Amino acid sequence: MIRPNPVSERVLLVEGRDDERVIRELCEHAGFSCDFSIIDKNGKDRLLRSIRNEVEVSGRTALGVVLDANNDIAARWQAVRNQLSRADTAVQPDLDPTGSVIQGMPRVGVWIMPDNQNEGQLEDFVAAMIPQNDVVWPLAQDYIKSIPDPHRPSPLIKAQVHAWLAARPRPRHMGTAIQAGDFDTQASLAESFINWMKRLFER
Amino acid sequence: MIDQIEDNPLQLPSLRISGFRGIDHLEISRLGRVTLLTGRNGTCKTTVLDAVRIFADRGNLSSLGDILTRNEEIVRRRDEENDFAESLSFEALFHGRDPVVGTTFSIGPDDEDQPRLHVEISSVDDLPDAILTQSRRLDVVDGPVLKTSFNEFTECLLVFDNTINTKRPPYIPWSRAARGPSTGDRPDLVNYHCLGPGLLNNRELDRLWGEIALTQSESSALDALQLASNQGIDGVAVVPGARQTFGRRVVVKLKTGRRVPLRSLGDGAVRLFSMAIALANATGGFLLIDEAENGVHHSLQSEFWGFVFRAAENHNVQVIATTHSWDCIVGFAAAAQENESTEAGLIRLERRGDSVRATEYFAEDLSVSAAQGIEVR
Repeated sequence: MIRPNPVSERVLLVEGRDDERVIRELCEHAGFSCDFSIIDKNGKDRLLRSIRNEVEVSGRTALGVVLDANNDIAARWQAVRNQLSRADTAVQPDLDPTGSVIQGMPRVGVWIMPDNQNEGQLEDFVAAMIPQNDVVWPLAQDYIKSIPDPHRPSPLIKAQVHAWLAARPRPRHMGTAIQAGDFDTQASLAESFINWMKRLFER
Repeated sequence: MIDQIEDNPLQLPSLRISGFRGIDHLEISRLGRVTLLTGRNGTCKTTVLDAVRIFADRGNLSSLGDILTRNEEIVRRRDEENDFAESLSFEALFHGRDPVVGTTFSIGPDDEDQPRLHVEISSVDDLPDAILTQSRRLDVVDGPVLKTSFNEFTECLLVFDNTINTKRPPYIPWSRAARGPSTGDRPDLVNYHCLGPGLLNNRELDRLWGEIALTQSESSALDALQLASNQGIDGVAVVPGARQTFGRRVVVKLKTGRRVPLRSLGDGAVRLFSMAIALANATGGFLLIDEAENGVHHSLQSEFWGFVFRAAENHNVQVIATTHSWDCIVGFAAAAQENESTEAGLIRLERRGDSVRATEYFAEDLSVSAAQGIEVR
């Protein structure tokens, strides 16, 4: 039987383990020390279905939702808004490019990967932290692009980021690579994300 | 399914309580055929059960008195002859505990078109003429009285401020001594049964079993008993008790041929048997269960609730239960998924200042919480 998650006042809901690791390491690396827990919802649909109940958990003060846009950002945003409206949380119709934060009890934040504006996913967000002028990155991109159908991976970006990681002097997963300093966590998109986390979780 | 709902509408499809005990105001926009109440201690879960009971009983003095007695809301003071007199603190029924003439509590559906029960502290002078002209008993009342009204019916209860004779210890027979004059047609009372956190005593078991023995409901009670027992059950009877037991006792015939006391099968067996016979006895009304998880092993929770759902439908009973237990909630959610045609929901109560706020979990919200371990208590 699934035991109830320990009640945490400040919670971030994510789609999967990679999101959890990347966000945890990014926050740590950026010196964001606010106390919050991350719940891996194991999939987009499970995450969306849980939003109303996660907002309604007794004693919750802040709830963040991080979701991939994939190939339809408008649909994703609408799905989140529908769930929030069931929890009596009114959300403005437009997605805030710096990450949405809705004041209330609890405060609710929504970040749609990669940047609240474009289609894509976690790996697009991570790719934006690859240091400028990195010489391997164009090679990794080209290599994945050169793979012919039907072997070409989809989405390309996922394979490209992992190919780049595999070509590091010490190959690591995304989260541990952030911890090791392989990425530029000062990149503007990463900073924007950290600022959203601060607006959401800081008291 | 729709036909069934139309045939057997719920007594309380929603609930609004104002000014009753710890509840200044509470609105629950939807109750199910079976509703589970959760919430921290002090969020008035049991008070909600009490309110439903009083509503079912249309403010009858016996249920008011039972609730006050259970909560030991008793004042003891010396009367004119310097004897100790005990009376129930009826003011404890009202929110704030410091009620004045005009203070009211009300209980009913959260729907302006449906009748609600109102209980008001009234001065004798404010009572309707139809009541004042009918009774000389009111002449001797020098304090306020309780005025109960439901639809066109108004009744005056002479219970306030120790104005009735309380000299016969330990308790006076409240319902007879204190019922005052009334006007309008007395409303039909709604059937109800309560199961507290503890087990029913032998006298209660005897009475409830007696009502269903040798009827169709008997077999469903045996099925419930079977759930909690690892031995085959063949039948139940009530037999004279030993001198030191309280009333007659229930015995069970096992498939092995042995006859054993019901209580020897354990608390779970007594609890499930009580539930089954109380449900069968509550036809058309309410079954109110405080701390539903008691005595039922976690592995049996979903079967237990499945039984409650089916019996509630069969007997047209509206069940409202409280729990603190996660296992109970998960079992309830599983049973709700298996019995989709039964309207089932979980309501969490939470204090917001003086008010109590209700959060409702029906259908998918209920199953998502159970499946993902999202706290609803």
